[in-house]
Amino acid sequence: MKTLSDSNLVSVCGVLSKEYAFRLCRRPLDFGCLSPQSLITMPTQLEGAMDALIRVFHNYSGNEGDKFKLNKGELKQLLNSELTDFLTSQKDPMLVEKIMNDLDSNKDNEVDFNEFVVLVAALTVACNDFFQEQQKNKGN
Amino acid sequence: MPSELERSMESLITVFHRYASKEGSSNTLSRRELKDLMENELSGFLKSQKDPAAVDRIMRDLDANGDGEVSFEEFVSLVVGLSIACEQCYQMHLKKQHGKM
Repeated sequence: MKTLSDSNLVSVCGVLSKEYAFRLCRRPLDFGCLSPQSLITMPTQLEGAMDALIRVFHNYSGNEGDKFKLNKGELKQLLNSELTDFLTSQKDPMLVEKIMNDLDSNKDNEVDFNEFVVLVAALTVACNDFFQEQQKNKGN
Repeated sequence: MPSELERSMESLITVFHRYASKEGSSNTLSRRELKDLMENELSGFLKSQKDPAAVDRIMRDLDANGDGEVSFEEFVSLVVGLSIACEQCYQMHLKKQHGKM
């Protein structure tokens, strides 16, 4: 994803603003419970994307300790494998530490799915902003 | 070669723009475009709602700045909420399985 090469993650999370990002996750869910069945039968592109977020998270969180949370090592593995381009474009070797501190809102040294998905949301919004800029420059 | 995570993030953007570009501003979802998106992309979820006015309720909930349109950032909050709900179901399912082993 070359689109992320110019953004610094920490500043992206800042732009999204901690308050807004946490509000995304703490919003009371009065949507009712989504049946897992609907994800098994013929997922749409959007359902597939959400399913992948959960699967990728669990691929790494299940390795050590608490199977439903990412410790620092698991988070580092996830970032290195799944967001390689983004990480290598950032020259800061302390980036994983910074990301961990930023995401771990309840300070238990683990990142749960709610905290992780905030990262994904912030990065996706940044990509979309870049994409929309490009569209504008094309004169669309 | 994009990773699975990167492809999912790309899908969120692609799906949003597929529906947002149908009418009016191509960077926001009108009420009709949101309804379209939900009926086509989240039909399973909509069916589980007993409330026929679910789309209206969701639109009001998402449209944080009250301008009658849903921006990408506002749309992402829907995706985040649904993903968290799904993940909780998935966790419960895994824990139940583990209990039986």
